[in-house]
Amino acid sequence: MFRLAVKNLAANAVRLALTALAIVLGVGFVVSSFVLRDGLKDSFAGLSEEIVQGTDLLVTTFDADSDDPLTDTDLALLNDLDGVRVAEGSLSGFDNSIQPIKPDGTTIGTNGPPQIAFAWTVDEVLNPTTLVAGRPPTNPMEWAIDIDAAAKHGFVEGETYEFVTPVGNRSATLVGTFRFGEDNTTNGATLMAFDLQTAREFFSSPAGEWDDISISIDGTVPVPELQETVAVTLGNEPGSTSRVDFDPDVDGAEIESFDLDDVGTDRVLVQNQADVAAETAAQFNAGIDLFGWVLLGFALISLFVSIFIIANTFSIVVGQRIRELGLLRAIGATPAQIRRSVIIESFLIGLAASVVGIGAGIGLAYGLSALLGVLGIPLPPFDIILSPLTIIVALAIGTVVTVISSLLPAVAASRTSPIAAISGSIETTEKSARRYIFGGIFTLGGAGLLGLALFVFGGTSSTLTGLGVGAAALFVGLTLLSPLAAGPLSRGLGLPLETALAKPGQLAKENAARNPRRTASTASALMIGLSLVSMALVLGASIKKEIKQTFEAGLQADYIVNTQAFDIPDEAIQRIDDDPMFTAVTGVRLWGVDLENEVVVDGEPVDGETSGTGVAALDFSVAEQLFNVGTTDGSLSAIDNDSVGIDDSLADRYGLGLGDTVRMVLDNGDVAELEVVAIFTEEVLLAPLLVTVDRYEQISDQPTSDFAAALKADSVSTADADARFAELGEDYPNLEFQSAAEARETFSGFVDDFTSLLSALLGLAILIALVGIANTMALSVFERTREIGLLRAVGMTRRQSRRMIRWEAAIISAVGAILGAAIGLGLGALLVAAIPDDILSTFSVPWARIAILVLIASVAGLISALLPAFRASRLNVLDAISTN
Amino acid sequence: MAITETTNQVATGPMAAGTRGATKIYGDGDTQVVALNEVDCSFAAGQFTAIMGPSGSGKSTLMHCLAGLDRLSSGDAYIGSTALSQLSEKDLTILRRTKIGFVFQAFNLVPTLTALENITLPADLGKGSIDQAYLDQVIKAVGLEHRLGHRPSELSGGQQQRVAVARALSSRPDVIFADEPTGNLDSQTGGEILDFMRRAVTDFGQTIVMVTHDPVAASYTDRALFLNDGRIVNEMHEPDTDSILAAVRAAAQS
Ligand SMILES: Nc1ncnc2c1ncn2[C@@H]1O[C@H](COP(=O)(O)OP(=O)(O)O)[C@@H](O)[C@H]1O
Ligand SMILES: [Mg+2]
Repeated sequence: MFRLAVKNLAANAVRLALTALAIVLGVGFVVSSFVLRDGLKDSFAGLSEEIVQGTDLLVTTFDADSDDPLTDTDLALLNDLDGVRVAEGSLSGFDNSIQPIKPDGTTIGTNGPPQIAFAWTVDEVLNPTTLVAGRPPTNPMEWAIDIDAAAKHGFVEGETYEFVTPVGNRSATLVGTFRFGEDNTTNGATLMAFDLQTAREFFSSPAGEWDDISISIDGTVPVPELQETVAVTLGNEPGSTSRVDFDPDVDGAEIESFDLDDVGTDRVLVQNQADVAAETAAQFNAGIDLFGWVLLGFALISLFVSIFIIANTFSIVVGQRIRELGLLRAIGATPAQIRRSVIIESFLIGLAASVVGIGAGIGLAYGLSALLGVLGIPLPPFDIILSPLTIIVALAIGTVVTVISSLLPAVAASRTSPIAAISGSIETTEKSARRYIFGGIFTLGGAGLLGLALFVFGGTSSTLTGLGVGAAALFVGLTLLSPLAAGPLSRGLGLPLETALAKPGQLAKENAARNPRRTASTASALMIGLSLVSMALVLGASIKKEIKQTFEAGLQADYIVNTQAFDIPDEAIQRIDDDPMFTAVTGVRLWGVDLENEVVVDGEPVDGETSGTGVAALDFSVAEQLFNVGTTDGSLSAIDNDSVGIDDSLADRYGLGLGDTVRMVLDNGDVAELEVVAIFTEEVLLAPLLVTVDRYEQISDQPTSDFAAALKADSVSTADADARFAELGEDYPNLEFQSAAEARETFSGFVDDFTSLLSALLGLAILIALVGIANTMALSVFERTREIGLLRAVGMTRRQSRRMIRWEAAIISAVGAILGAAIGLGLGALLVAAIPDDILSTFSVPWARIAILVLIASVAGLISALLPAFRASRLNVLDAISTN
Repeated sequence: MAITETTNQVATGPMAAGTRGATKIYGDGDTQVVALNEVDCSFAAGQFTAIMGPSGSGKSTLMHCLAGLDRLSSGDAYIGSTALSQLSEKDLTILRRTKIGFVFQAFNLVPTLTALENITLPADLGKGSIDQAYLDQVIKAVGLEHRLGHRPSELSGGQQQRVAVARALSSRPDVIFADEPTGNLDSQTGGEILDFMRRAVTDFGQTIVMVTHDPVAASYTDRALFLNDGRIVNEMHEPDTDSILAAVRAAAQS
């Protein structure tokens, strides 16, 4: 049987090449997700090591916001210890919080690699950077930048540049350029070093306090011993030196489990160089892993889709070989032998295609990285790393998927009766009730599981598993059922073609409808791909509608300031406030906070997660002028330092009414008791809990606003106010000063960007679906050689025959696209229903977009059939006539 | 046209189709096969001609080249006064659609189309209009009035061949080529088809060229040409079964 399988492969090489292409693409996508992940990890691992070059021990506090920070006193104690050569404090700002204004008047932007600001480290060993030109930034208002960023953005030594900082716009003179590590491997980030005084001002860092302390040893005391000494010196219990071993291969999730509870009363964490590097790498890896998983998820969707394509091809090929199989049966091959030969054949194809897929995956990794760049998510440079694990997974997954796809066709082949050798009936159009029963069971089961996952399951992993398995079952079920719709749909879609294209149109229609099962199987992959895309479109449209409603109902302000970096300095808001054209303005700060209130149901306390909730702080003297939060009880203007306003759903959750007490955990661990003085319904302020800015400062040290809103004076014309507002924004190129309508567009734009990204990642699955259509069309043309020859003999032109094939493919694609869009609408509705109402309560169907999507898919299907159509038109007419 | 000088032409009317020095060579070198060797022939309008000869003598090749399905290696084939070698692939297709009718041994019909749609297929493929009265006459003559909405899979072999003949007639072509049209049928059904073709020639003035190796089938024709080794070796007018059998034997020995 093995020899037979190999012979079949050789005989059908061309036909099978297209089948293999589906596997190559699917496996390629999987490989590229691994290759990208490994490559990025590797490049960040190098970065992590270079960051801690020269630092032998690193001292940090457990909580960055602790009210017991590292101080100059600690630093002095450490510098006096035996074994310490030098200890130096360091300061660093949040990524992207300090944005230099480039010579062209713009900022670098926050989509790409981050802009990282820090205070210049004086000790040359501790300093991970090396000065290349100029001098170090050691005088007030001086800075230095890494050489690549300087060249890329056009910063020149000796010039003074302005910065948008959390404390307002500031200027500093560029005095030098440096490189990071040996080759300035910043992975695209912009590194900026400031002198200590300037850094303290920019970062709002109190004098005498440090974010962490780096120690360089002199080698006289062994590292573990010194580590213990340092910890005890700074107040830890003897023996409790907090050393956490980070395994860089472990997911970043591990790091979160590491919190105050685990370390008891320790004041500081003292880590050696290897641990710091590992922890840094683990933090990078957490992000990279997430990225890898997302890519892998989309790759698995592609593979799932290719299962349908491959199974379809195998069953067509088996059908076309029915005579040969019948002959084998007639001369004594057992059903098991036939089955085995088909499975061996698929195994060999799967293996070969997976090998090619590994190569394709490397190319695809570059392609994906370029695509993400186009979509505004540039990846840092990476090396191609093809690990043995990747190779094994790729080979296994590609082969297994192919073999699974061949199982049903193999069983069908084994059922061939010896008489088929004589009758050679190719088209098996028997309607099997079993198919539809199974289809029904899978569809209902899958839908049920999806419903459970969305509405009932709690945990993330059980929800995700439920969604994945449920969706897979649903798609299998719907594919089994789809022949029921494929026939009528093909005829309906073909009707206009019959009018427009006359006979070739009618033939295209009849051909698409003649074997609904084949049409349905061929269209199934496209159906799945498009259902996911249209689900994303429905979700996006619903979110956009929600945004629109929120803006219309909740926003009375005329102007909005927002930023992707979520850092609007008070200075910028003050500028608006000072301008007589604007009567009211407030910044809105957002953060998260824990509450200690009990969850209440029907007045009775119950067990429930009292986890964090969002909190917003703003100026309540103008809040009601700018926002319509739908206050039902009390008033926002009543909120002071001892009171809060809360959203009605939060009030329900904790059983709170006016006058009741919210117990809010502050940064220093204290619990503030705040009286409820306002209850509102609209979450236009993006948080269910409202506090004053003073209160807010006890839970967050973020000195900036996340957005701001302003109202123009009645006496000022809209045009004048628009112009003035835009002018105010000129000094803050990283912020967007927009009218309310523009701001709404911006938010909608984010949603569109997201749906584009999803669609692009689903693009490969759709490409595979199109390959499947091309493949079926090629097989159909082969199968209908005589028929096409006959048509040509009685006067069909080549052009007409091409048209007939192309439009058949277009109809099949349209069937898949329409079914997919319908399913996507259903899934989208389910998803929107599952999202809690206070996040998303509107449902909207983007009909025009979905119609365009269906149209594009149909045209793509038509294009995919260009080659089969060309082959059909070149068929030897005599083949139809030569009797055999 | 020079073709009228052809020796074995019988002038019952103007020439509907013919060849001049028709040579068809398959393959090259050692495997070269001369399927047609300098064949000159002519088929008069309104005549029913049988092409006979042993297997491999070149019958089908001759027919294919005459019908514009295949091209000659040298020489030329004519439909009316049109030299086929001068035509582009597209013109050849249109010529097949408008000037030629086909009846093949098997697989004559498009399975997705009804009997009627199959009959009108050549006209529908072009923009040509159908002579409805003539079409009704043809359909009636083949006795298909009640089968027009059926698909080929719902028709018997004989019915299918009748649909095929009706299709060939429907566009009133200059000439109909039939390749063993009764080869797959029992003798009675075959007889009905041949009767019908005979009547198409007699009643409608149709020109038919039929390849067959069956002397009974050839006896329905006005004239039989005998091929051997790619050459015309004999010709017979108003043939009957016995004379054909004799000629076939003679041809096999030549
Ligand atoms: N496509 C082809 N390639 C090579 N040889 C061919 C081809 N078609 C026909 N022949 C050869 O040409 C000769 C005539 O064939 P054909 O016209 O089919 O004969 P007939 O129809 O009289 O049986 C035969 O020897 C046949 O083998
Ligand atoms: Mg023949």
